[in-house]
Amino acid sequence: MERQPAGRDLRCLVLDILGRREAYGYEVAESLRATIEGLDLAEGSVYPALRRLERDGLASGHWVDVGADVPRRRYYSLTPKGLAVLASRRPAGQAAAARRTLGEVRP
Amino acid sequence: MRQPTPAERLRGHVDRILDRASVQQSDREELVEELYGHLWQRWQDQLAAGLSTDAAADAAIAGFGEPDRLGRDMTAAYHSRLYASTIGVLLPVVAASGDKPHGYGMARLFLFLIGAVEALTVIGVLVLNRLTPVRMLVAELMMLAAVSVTVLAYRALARSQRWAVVYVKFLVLVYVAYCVVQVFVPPTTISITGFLVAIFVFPAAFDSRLTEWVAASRRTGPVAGAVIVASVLMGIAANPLAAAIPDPTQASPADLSMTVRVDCTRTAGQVTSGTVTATIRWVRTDFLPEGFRPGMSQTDDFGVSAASDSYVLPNAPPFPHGLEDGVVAGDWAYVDAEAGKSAAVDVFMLSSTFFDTGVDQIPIDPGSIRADRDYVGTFGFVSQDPTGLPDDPIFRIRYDHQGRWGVQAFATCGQSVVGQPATPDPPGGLLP
Repeated sequence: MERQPAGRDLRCLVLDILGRREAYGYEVAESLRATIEGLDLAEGSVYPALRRLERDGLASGHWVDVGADVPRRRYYSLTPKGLAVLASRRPAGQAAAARRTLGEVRP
Repeated sequence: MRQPTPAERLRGHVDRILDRASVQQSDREELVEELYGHLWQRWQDQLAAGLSTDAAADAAIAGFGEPDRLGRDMTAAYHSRLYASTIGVLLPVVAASGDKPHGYGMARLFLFLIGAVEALTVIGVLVLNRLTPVRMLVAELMMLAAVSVTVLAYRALARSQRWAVVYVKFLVLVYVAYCVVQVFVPPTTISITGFLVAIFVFPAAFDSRLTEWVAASRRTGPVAGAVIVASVLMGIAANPLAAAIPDPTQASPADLSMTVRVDCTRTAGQVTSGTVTATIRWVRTDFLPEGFRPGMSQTDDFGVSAASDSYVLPNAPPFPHGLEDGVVAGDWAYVDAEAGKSAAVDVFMLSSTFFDTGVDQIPIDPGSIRADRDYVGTFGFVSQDPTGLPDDPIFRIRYDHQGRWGVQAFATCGQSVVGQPATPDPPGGLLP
């Protein structure tokens, strides 16, 4: 049975993705799918995770215009605090969270 | 009827999500743009993959997630877990679009007035009530809960939340029911408030347009329903419920000992005069017995039987009242009933002041009572008939503790009796 990652694990995964590069929500969702095989992800759930990271001061967002007739994108990147948290969680914490999530989503 | 465009459907899905979330308006505007951008891009990708316009929109919406779940998650992202699980459930901060329906204004005015009355009651309980500390605390908490839910409902109604309309309806029904009960149950009265609610608010609250206006919001589940019922009941029953609960800060019959002794003087075997002495001692006294409002309390009024004129001995000089230092005399009234020759003397209360008149209600100052100290009341009686009373009188000495409980003793000549806990007398007293 496929399952969605729990909120805390999802935030860890998003933190990991943002640690690699700046991204907007759609990209984060795509990265999650690419990273975790068989992930049954409600794409909208990345936004509460992103906003929670931003509220906690681990990430910051800014709007980017990408062209006419195309909605703006809000890109997120990790703050120094977010980078420090990410560094402190690697490899044990983050990897464990990812493994636990993987364990949940695999049949 | 025109079908919504795919873009409108995507935007509608975003609105449904945020309608279920408790976020500030400024955050909402950004979230609308961000979530819509995601759905739009997914829609474009599905179109590029070969799906039809509608199918692509369907796929984008389906993949984005359920509005209820995402709304809750979004609330949790902006608030604490406690807020998200309580207020966040009841109060999504989303302004309703479009015109307000008929009945909205009256329903909101009703909530405003109810909230104002409840808020005043919170203050009134604190300032005016004579509730003891624990009872006052319970009453205040209940009233605060009631006023909090009313304030939330007031705000939620402006955001077209269904539970707020349910709350209004329930309140209206309670008011109208109370109004009806007052009309038909003696003593018959007409509640102006209930009448006004029935005439003006009832039609507005149950107007179908108001119900339809909130139909798109989350259904009122069992939790919200329980909150609504509980808050209404707490607002109504805070005072009587609080007054009925036991308060460990207050003295009980076990904290009071009372001994009554009757000494009689006889002539030719008949009682011509005598003295009744009651000694009262508290092991523990009340803590703030009248709440935070200083004042005087009154005891019950047992009165004097008008038919007992032959035996009534007014409490007047030269009866030997004992008034030494630390000794306090009470106010006594001697009552005789023809049948059963029973007589009763009510010790209404002791005070630091000696009361010399036979008034029925004696004000007391609970603050003057001290534990571990004897309070002695004496009362002398003389028969108006110089030959004496045909039967030995029986005296009932009763201490009433602010109408909550009592200790009483029945004693006749030559007896020394320890008082026992007693329930309050029925209205009108023991005597017919």
